[in-house]
Amino acid sequence: MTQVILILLFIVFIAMGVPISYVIGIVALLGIFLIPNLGGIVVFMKMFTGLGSFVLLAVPLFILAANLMNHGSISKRLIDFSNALVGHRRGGLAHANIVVSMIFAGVSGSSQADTAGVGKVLIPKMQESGYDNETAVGVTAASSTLGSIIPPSITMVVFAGIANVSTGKLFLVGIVPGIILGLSMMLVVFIISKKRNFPRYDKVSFKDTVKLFLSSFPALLTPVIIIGGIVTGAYTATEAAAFACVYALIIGMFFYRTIKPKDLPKIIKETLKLSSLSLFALATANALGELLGYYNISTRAANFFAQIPGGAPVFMITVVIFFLFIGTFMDAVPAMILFVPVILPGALALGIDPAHLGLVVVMTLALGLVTPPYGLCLLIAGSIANIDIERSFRGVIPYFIIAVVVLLSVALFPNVVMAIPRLISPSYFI
Amino acid sequence: MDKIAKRVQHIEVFLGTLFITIFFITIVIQVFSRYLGITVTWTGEVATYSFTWAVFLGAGAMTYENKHFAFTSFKDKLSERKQEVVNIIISLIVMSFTISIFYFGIIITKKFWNYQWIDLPMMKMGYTWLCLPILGATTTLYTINHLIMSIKRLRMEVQR
Repeated sequence: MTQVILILLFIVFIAMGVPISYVIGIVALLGIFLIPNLGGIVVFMKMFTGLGSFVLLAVPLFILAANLMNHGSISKRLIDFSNALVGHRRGGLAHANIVVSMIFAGVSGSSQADTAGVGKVLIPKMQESGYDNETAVGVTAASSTLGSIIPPSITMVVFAGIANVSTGKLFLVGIVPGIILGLSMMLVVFIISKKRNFPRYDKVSFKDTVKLFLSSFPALLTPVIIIGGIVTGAYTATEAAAFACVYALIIGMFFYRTIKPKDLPKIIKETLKLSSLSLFALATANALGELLGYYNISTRAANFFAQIPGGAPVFMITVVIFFLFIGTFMDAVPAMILFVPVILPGALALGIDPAHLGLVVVMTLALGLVTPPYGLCLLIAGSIANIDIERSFRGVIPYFIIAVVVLLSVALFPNVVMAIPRLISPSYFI
Repeated sequence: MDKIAKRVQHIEVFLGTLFITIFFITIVIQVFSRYLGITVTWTGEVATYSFTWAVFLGAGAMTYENKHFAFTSFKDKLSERKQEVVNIIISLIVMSFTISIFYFGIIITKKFWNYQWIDLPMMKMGYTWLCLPILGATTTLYTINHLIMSIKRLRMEVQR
């Protein structure tokens, strides 16, 4: 009975609009109060100690790195370079939009940073060049979801923290599906561009392309430093994030000279505000985890999922449908905090690799960033183009469909997804 | 009231920024000292605790700005008057938790006050736990502020 009341309270509070981190904390506190011999003190101690995980320290560092990159006009240089590479094809700017998102994904780790950074430059440029608003918004929003899939990825770091999975392994398994998804979106652009006769730019000369490459080379080196270091085990995700910050600061201040010392307090303040939102929710979720432990929810969930007919494939499809639905109205971080501890025991009981589960959850929730009513990337891109959410989503639909196809393939064929990571770093799969 | 809350939030953001800077510098020292083969043992605790302080101070500041993740689709569909009634109830619900953070935060801080850090024994654990009652106090202040503002807006709606 107690559990039913707690679940009802949880649903009512969330539906009312009480901040999710507070709802989690309140439910945890009430639940712990109702357990004999336990005091409310446990909730707040758990909130505090929940932030002690070393991997979580990477979250504000990746956000800081993204803020430094955006401030350092690095995104603009990457756009120019991408445009030089693919701008001469039909629908060149849309292709360039996806290419730059793939590169930016390897630099920043945040889809929202990608939409804001790339969208601000490319959406007006696409509008001027004769693209309709829906396409400009659709390509920008959809391709920015790659930021959560191609490493480094803040949502992957959070998943790693919740599920106790190696961040390096998660990053490794995200590379190939991320690139395939990007290429699939380019295929959609190719088909639509032919149909609608989208414009193309003159081919940039080889000399100018090399010039642009050299100008954006320091930025292009960032993913190599971050991903290379983590995947080869040279350093941890947190250390890589620290490297990325120092590197972004150095190139922003001394190479591109777009960051001045007086800009730093503002950049750090933005980092503080953004990172504390996710991390405070994680802290309260840690307290809720304690409550779930007392009620033995993990074992019950594991038993429930183990009895579902169809085994791992049906479980994975259920996970995809469930998180697609959740993602329509909830941000990725709180959604993972709330539901990953419930589904993880089931996945383990079915023999699913937690890194594979993490990849599927992250990819699904990345799609939530472009689905209304609460799709942050969709909202940001729509506001840049000044069009409403319905029109914005209409532009996203072709890319959304291809993304769901890629997602289902990733969910249903783990051996194919894991093949390349297993070759690169067998130690992760022992 | 809003002026006081705003000033407190400014201080909270300033301190949070300071702690996140300390955290960042410490992590950088930790990473580079590891590569240089120098043993610097204190960085782990300083980084973790300054990170915790920064998160709690930032979370407090975001409570003032009403920026925490929330599901508002149902609330947004209500009339302005009903929205304000819901806002008042939300503030009271949130306040029940912020007061609990303050109350239990004081108990925990007192309990662990004289415990010491492992690598820096001159530092008391009390300093680290102090962020909990501070979070409780500031968020309670901000929530009272939200409550007052919602009541004022509701009165205006009723008079209209």
